[in-house]
Amino acid sequence: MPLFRPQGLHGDDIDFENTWSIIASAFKEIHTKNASRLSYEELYRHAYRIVLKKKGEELYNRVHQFEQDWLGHEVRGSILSLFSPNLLADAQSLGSTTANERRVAGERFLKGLKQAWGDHQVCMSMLADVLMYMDRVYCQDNRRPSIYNAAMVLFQKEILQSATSDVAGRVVLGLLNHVILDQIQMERDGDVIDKHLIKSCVYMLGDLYEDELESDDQRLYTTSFEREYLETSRGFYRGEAELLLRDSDAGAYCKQARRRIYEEEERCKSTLLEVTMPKIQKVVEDELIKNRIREVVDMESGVRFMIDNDRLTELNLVYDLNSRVDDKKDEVTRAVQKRIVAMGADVNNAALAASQAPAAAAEAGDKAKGPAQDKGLNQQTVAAIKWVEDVLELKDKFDRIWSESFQSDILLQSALTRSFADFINSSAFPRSSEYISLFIDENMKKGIKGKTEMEIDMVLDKAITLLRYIQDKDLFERYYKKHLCRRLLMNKSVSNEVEKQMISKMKIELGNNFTVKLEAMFKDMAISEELTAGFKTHVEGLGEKDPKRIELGINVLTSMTWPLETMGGAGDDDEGRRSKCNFPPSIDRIKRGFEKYYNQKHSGRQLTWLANMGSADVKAVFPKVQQRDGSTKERRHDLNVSTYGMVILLLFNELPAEENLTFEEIQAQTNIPQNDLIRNLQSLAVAPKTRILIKEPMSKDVKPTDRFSFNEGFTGKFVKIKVGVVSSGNKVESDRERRETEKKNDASREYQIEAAVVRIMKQRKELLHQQLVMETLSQLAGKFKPEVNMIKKRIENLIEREYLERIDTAEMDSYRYLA
Amino acid sequence: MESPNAELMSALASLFESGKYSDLTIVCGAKSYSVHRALICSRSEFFEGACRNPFRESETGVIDLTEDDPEAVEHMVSYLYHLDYLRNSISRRSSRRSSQLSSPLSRRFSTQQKPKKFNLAMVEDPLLATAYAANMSTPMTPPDDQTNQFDTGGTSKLPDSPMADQFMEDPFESVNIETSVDVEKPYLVTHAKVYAIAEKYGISGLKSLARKKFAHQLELHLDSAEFPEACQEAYETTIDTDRGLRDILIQTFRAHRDLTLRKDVELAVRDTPGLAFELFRMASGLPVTSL
Repeated sequence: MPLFRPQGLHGDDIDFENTWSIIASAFKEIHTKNASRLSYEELYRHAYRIVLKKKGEELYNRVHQFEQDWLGHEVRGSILSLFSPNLLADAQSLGSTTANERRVAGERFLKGLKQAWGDHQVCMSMLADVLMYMDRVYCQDNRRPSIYNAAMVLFQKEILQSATSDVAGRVVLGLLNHVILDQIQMERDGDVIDKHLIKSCVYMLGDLYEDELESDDQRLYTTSFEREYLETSRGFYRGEAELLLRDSDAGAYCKQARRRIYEEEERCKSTLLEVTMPKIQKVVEDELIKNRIREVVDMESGVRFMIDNDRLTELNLVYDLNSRVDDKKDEVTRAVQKRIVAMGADVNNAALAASQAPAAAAEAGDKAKGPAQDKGLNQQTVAAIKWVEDVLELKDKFDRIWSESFQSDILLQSALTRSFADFINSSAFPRSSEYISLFIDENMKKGIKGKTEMEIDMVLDKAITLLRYIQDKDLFERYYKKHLCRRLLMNKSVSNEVEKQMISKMKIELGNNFTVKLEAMFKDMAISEELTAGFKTHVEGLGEKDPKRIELGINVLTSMTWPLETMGGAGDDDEGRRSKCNFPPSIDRIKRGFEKYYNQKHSGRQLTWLANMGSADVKAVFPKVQQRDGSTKERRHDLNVSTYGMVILLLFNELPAEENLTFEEIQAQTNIPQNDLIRNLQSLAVAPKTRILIKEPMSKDVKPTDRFSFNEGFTGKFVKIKVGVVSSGNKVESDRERRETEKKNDASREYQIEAAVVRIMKQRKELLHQQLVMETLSQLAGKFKPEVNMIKKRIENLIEREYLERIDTAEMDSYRYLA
Repeated sequence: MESPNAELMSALASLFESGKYSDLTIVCGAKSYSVHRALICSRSEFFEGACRNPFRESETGVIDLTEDDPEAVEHMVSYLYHLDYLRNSISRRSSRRSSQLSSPLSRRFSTQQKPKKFNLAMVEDPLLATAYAANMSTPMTPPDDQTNQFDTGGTSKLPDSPMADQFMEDPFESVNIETSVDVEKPYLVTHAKVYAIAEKYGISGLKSLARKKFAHQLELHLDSAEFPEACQEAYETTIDTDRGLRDILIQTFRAHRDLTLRKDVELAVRDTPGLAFELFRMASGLPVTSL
């Protein structure tokens, strides 16, 4: 059988040199852009056959050499021709040429390089396609870089690393970096540059590598250009920060910083590569923000200035910058907190000054007595209201800053809250609880009159807002109870509904425990109303209507619930005497009647009559006597007096007109405690508009020897006259009262601490001292913050009372619960 | 009901047959194929290279493969459209046409091929038949007259297309060699040539298909007179690191020692140093390739 020989593929019928010369001349054509005359198939076939004949390596090397020669001779020459004095001059020293000259020369250079690079890429991709089989078979089998990649490296070596005539000894790459950086600097200075052109050259650097391994971090862009770019930028921004801090205010600084960040971001998109974005941003952020934010915040025109002048936009800028470099925004937080505490302290001090100034003046004038002190207290109440309004205003201000400038940042919110709590609970200002309660009191009595439901709700919410900051909730409760008690008993509240609303708001905010006693007070009031009505019906059922019958309105108060001791304004020593007040027979009769009625309903309960807290309406008839204006009309007045006042006035009913009673006689007959008696006589005989009695001798002070008689010549403009008794409203406490309140509060705290300690120990049986203290603190956190010393004392006390014992064997202080 | 795959396959077949939308011509000697860049370039980097670079091919839209074996080119183009070549399921139908065509076909091949090569015109090849059916109106169209061929390509489609029932079986399923190839003819040399052209132009699917067919046919036609030529073809047309067909042959020699005793085989071995070397190593108990 004859042998078949495959055509043209066998043996040595391929002459390498011949074939190569065909290929080489074709490559020359490709490089001179004459490819359209060439047959791709033919070139491919030639290369294929060479590889098939195992001459792949030779082919590869020849192509490599060809490209090297081409780049080295043809291309390098054209690049070198682009060097002009202007281009090289700027590389040596700035200033010898104008920016514009440099820019033109630079662009010419960039354009030439871009052109050379573009041509190289196009030609090489054509060559690579022709040599595809070599790449696929030879390069892969022998682990050599593809001819395309090898040619890219060649471009790097033959063109970018070739020397320039630059005296600094820079190679083309160095010059390229410099030109790009120079152009970017021009743009930073406000010039317009050809971004597109630069981007082309940057892409080139992004496509070229230091070596043939082509790992990502070996890109020329990264290893050469970007590094230099970041370095120059760092220097530039460091200088700019310096300059701005010296010449601009904080707001302008922030604006510029933000603009720069934005610019760099844009630059990475339009001119450079986006991989640089995070790096350059870090540089800008470091130089313009991180290293400077503290200075900026503390500038005269810094955060404090912005807060004081409501520069919300600038604050937002500062916040934005700070949050770029610091998740916690420490600097802004620090500055804002400092400002809040300072402004809060101002508010506190203003309140203290307002409350103390008149008091001090009164003390200087007189030995702090009667109306003078009263007036002082009134001013203090005004100070309290103002304090609350001021704090709320401050809060509004910072809330606005928070939402508009700080993007409702959670961290800053809690920082703001902390700072508000700090100054509100400041040890230099112990009146917060009382002031807040007074604020509510004032609104309940007057403030909410004529307001819509919405507005009332806002007022209540304001109070709740402040209440949140209060640390010692127990103290607040004490004040609130006292104030509420007065409002309820004296019928001072504008609306019972609103009172209840307030309670339910507090319940939501502070929990059931806090409001349970307050609610009990409302319940007592409701029951009392029923009792009063029931008693009235009961009395009417007894017989014929007596025109002289005295009507009784009564409030039955559960003694534990109501802060009765705070009502009298007197010390504990009066307590015993209070019940001994002698009522006139007519009053005593009805009193006994009610006691009987009440006992039928609730047997076994003891009623204590608090005459110091009641009031009475008395119809008074003043006889026809000569008036100052000459008339002699008979005058009728409805006098609203305290219960004591009524008891005193009724004495004069049985007295002949011309007779009088001495202070001692009155005291003996009525058995009214001395303090109360003095105050009531003052309001009946001294106060100018309600002189129903005549005192001899006439003076402000009441002495035991003073004599009192009925003032027949009394005149009043109104039919109804209210005889006020000194110190009956809810006002800021005097210092003495405050000490009293705190003392009582401490006593109650001691009890609560003990209760907490026992609760904890009962559960844990044994516990380290430190842990016990911690747990006690956390259990009581909702109510108040006890001093550790107080806890220690209570523990000692409990050990004495044998609730606990020390564990002697333990290394650290620890206790055991004794059942 | 056509399956989705069959639908695509028949669409491709009719595209090829009609030359509709064709934007590239492959010329091989006197034959030319109206093909589609989208389909061809996405399968072979060679063709892509020809089309994407500003060489002559991309300007004229003609790729001249006259230097390649016309049979191999034929099968390659067939594969690009049908995912197969040398299918006999239509042979019964195409016999009529192939007999009609036998004359011009044989004449053409005779101009380019050595007389010893078996005559393709004698083969009942449905694909050849199809291809020529498409070109029937201008059987002698020279390569430079392509535009004319494009115009007539669509109209030359026969109403009773043999392609229509060619895809009753799913072409994406493994190639059913047993039934698709004429068992009478070994086609060993053909497969080796197709294998080589697939390697040259980087069409890996075709390469493995040709290898499969080659291996299958070799098993059936060990005694074939084509065997020595196939050995030479396999060892001469691809680079020696390409083990595709070489391994098959070496394994065959290993399993059938008596093959070397054949005279014609001996001649082929003498003439094919690559094969001789590997057989030597095999006989010496060494690994065939010395890597």
